[in-house]
Amino acid sequence: MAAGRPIQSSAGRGRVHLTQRRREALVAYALISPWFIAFLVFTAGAMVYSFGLSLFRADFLTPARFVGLGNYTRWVQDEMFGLSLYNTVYMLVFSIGLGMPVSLAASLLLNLRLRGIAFFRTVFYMPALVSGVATFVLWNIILNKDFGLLNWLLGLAGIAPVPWLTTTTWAKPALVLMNLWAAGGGSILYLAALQAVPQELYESASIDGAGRWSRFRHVTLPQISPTIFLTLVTGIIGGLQVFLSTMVMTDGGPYYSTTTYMLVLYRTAWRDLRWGYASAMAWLLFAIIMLLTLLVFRSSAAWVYYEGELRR
Amino acid sequence: MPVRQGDRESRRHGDPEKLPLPMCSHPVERPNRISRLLVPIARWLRRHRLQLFGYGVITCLGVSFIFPFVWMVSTSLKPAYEVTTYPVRLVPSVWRWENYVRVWQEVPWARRWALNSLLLVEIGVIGAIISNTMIAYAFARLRFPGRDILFLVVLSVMMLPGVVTVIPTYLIWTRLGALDTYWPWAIGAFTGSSFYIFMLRQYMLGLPYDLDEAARMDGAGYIRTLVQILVPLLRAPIIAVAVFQFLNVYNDFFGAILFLRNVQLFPLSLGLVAVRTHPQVGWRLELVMAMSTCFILPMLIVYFVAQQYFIEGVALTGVRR
Repeated sequence: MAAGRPIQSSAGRGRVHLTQRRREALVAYALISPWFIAFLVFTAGAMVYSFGLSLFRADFLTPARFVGLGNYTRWVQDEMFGLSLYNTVYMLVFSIGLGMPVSLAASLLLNLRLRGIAFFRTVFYMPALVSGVATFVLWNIILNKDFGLLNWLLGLAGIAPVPWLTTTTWAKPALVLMNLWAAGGGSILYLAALQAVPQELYESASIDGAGRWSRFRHVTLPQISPTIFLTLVTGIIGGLQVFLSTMVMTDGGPYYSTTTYMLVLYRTAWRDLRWGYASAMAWLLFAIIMLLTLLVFRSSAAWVYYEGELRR
Repeated sequence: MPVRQGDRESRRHGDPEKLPLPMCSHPVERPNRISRLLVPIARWLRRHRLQLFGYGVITCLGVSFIFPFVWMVSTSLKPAYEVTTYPVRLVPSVWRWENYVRVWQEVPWARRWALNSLLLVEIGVIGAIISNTMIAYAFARLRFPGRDILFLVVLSVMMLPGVVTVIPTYLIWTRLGALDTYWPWAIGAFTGSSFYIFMLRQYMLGLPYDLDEAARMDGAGYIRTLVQILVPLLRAPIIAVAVFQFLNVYNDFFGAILFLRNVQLFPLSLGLVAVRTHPQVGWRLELVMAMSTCFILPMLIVYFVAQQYFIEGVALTGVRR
């Protein structure tokens, strides 16, 4: 039975039906209540709370004082604001800009019909699987200037050792490289999308004389564009909030070159206990994320192709 | 008369290039041994060139993805004096299996951390399965006023950046006196998460509604219908939820940084970060690597065991984390 309001024909039946429907609704409310209460407290309530906090000068030393938008203006004028935002965006742009093509290429390879491809899929997915703290600890040593794996491999190619995590020039590229390794293989998403592309499309494209490249360009890419769009959006939202990797690996150094926005926020809140100021930072980052996401959404009409819509 | 007139290859549509015969100048009447050997090889190579290329590239990439792990394991088995040698030796001269024993002995809390992680994962997985199945059932199968709006809320929470909620969440838990307890994890798991709700609901929508109808006709209540009829059919997505939740909880150390001050309560993930500043162990990379290897192992095992469900879960929703 489709969801629709049943017409109450007679009073008696209507009442029975109504209690029946009311019971259903009550059961449903009971079932979703844990989620709903948590949402009210830890999402909706938390957002209101943190916005309120951001208008106050609240640290644990002095009584809270209302400062209006003072926290915001102060933060925007702070030199760390520009620097940390630059660091964050730099790593985001390179991680996504290099990571998405690598992921896509990897998933195209994994989509070939080769013997033993299942084994390769597992291998490719391993870095993404263990991503997180183990990756940071491992790469911290891989990137070591003197005895790290990477410099050894470069040395085999005749390249002098690179001081990856200890110079301002190389620290950000080093982290980007780690992100590439961690996400480059995690292309299960693209793989699922590729396998969902109808085979007939390729066949008809071939009949029309399309070569390999043009089939990729005009069949594959449009078909998987929703997935690309999704990874782009989640990548931006996640990438702008990056800080655990830099905290564990470089602690924001050298000379603040890997201090991301979120790391500044974390220190302001949990080291300096300036909750009001940190909340203002959080809301500003939230606004930046929303703005970028909105831009991507706006642009999506031009390049994301959904099944069932006509292309002009 | 061209050499390869009868060759199927040259007539194949869309393949204009000629077979590079190694002995082109030779007259056809006297094909020598070498050309007789090389022609089939060349032909085979060309027929399979895409696959060969694919194998080549995939192997190179695969090696670069797996090599850090190989190096990690090799480092963890080295004697102390060999860890920082240059050039790097991949195969230790002496296999020090006792590194694995030592790291668990020398770090006083290491076993404790592992047990803590186990406990957190258990709470997390059980809570996530129960709560999300319940919530998804309500959204997929029951009708109630405001359902669609509430489901939109579920979806938008999934996209909400954590940055705006992390500070108040911490302050609320502090107010409630939940620092140095596992309550945040437990409550978090038992109240469900958007991603899992979405995943389970999508799967449930694909199950025929007649099942519920039949059960209801037989007089089963809503909860009983869910538990006895639907849950057995939801095995795949429930296992996917369990795997995802295991990976998330096991890997999460930010929550531990926020809520735990007592080193005895650390999970293994935070322990791995903390151990690097340990006075006896932190600078001994072979021990740190041994601990990392131990840390990664459960994830790999779980992934191998539940691989198909995991991929199904990803394919179903198109989001990871």
